[in-house]
Amino acid sequence: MLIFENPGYLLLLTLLIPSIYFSHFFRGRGGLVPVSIGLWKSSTFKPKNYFLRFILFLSSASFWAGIICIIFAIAGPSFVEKEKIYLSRGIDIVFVLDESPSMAALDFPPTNRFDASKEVIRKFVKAREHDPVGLVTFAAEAALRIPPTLDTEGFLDELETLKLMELGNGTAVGLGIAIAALHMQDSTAEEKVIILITDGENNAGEIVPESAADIAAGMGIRIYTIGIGTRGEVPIEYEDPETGKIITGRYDSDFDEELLMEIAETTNGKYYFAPSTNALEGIMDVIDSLESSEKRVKIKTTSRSGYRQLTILAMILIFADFFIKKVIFREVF
Amino acid sequence: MASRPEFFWLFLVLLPIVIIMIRRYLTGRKNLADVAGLWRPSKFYDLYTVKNFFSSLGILAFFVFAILSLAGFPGREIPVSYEPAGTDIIFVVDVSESMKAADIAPSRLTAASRVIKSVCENTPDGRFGIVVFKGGGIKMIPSTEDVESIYNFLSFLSTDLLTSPGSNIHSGVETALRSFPKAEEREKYIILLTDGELHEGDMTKIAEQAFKADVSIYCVGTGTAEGARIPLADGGYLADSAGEIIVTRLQEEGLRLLAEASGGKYYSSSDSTLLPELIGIAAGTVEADDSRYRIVVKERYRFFLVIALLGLFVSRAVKVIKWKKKF
Repeated sequence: MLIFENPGYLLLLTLLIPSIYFSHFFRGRGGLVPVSIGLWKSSTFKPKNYFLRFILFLSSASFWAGIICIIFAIAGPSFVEKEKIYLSRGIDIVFVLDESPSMAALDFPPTNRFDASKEVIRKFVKAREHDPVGLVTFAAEAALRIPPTLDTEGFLDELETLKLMELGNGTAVGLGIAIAALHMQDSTAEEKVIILITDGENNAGEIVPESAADIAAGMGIRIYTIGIGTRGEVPIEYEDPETGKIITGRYDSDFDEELLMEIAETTNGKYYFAPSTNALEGIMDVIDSLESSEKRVKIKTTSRSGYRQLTILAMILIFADFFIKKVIFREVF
Repeated sequence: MASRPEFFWLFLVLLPIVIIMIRRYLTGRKNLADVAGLWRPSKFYDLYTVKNFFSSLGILAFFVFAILSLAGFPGREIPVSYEPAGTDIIFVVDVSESMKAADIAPSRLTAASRVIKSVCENTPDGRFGIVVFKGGGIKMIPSTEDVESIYNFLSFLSTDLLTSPGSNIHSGVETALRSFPKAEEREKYIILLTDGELHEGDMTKIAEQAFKADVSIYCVGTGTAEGARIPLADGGYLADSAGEIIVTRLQEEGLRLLAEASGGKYYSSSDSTLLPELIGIAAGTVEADDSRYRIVVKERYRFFLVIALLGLFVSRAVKVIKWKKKF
């Protein structure tokens, strides 16, 4: 936003009208040598070359434009940027995302479950610049992808690079939760939340989901569990990261709803069932509103002065006038 | 003095302007003689000379004072209140080949890793991130309170992390500057751990960038002035194309300059004050008192611009106002 620090100086602009009148239209002005070269009492002499007169007009116009620029510069133009500064600590949120091959099921048109989940996570994180978010993915094993951070850009970049099946074939729900909890233990946040998105039954990992949930509950972490996918037979298509082959087929989809409910219950969270993209988006909105925290915000303004640009422009305009008049038209006064 | 002294070069433009003015004045006198002839009093010439002089002076005054305003002189100092809510630290670690050298046992890189670990361990509630650089900088751990992920990363910190050859401190620091979370007001620090062998980038430019972003850079020089050879996996040492074994040495001057110009400090990795002071900075106990207010210096330019404008008006007025009812 452009503002003027001292707009009062803009009143100098009113000087322009009399100045222009006196220097271009006033008949009694000085600096003229009356010479008679026309016929006695004939009309006044005017050069006929309209192109040259146009150039002269431009030259004078550039002089006055230069003066206008200087007056604007005197008024102190500055570009003001307002920036939100959060004074309160947000809540820590870690997404625990299933990346087992079944997440490639194509029942979330136009994409599969995995990409649909990525999309809703992206939207969720973008709207939460105040809260540190992290990401853990799991299949046969679990790994921390991004520790809870306010660096939204870094988070989204990493989310973009996620691929299915990088952690093998399996569904280690317990490991996923445990890793997420481990990386929240140093957090100073008063509230910590895990959002678990999965479509399978726990069938891998050394930690059973129930005890992982107990650990999380002990640390005061709430877990929201989202069961994703339709029931029954669904088409599936994914690329094997090791061989690069595209694998297609049908998959009999089912997931352990009771386990997810239990995890949510032990940790004071909630369980949701998301059979479609719309449902998934709706669930994320619900979690977003459930986990809204009080924010104390202050607005920080930073201003950058713009007088230099205007002054340089003014100098160029005035110099252009000077050059055209004195060098091209060889004006002597 | 002037905050942008490079604008003083514009004074060179005055030279052609003055030359043009003098030449036009001379042709003007000649033309006047041709047109006015001998029957007009010679006062005409005097009036022309005087008016031309003052009008030209006005134009020159415009250019001189406009240039002075561009150069900008420090004026009023305005204190701006500032309450940092904690600190934000990004470690920038050199992973170039020379960090393998063992002049600090067991290796420069391990020494750097130990410094990072001690700072994190001794700063509960701190927030840290890690950027590594070689030919370019890459963010490895975004700013986080989760020190577990830092320790995890340190366990596989090695010179093989990146393949691009070189040691581009500039790119490393730039990446770090982009990695500080926005929308928060914290004291921001970069702790740069390197042997300072600068292959690309200009230290003063980096320092300026950091200073503008309100980030102080603390440099830790890992290595010794005597230097060491760079061990290879096969037991030999890294050699140049002529077969001479390369000896890498700590280059302190650049790091010292970078630290001081950005408001930080330089340490050698053997300094006994290194760890306590870095931990103090991380914990926010250093400089806590004078950081309540930050001095913003307003530039003084309006005064010059008003005189420049006056010069233009004077030059016009002298031209337009008829003197002695003649010219």
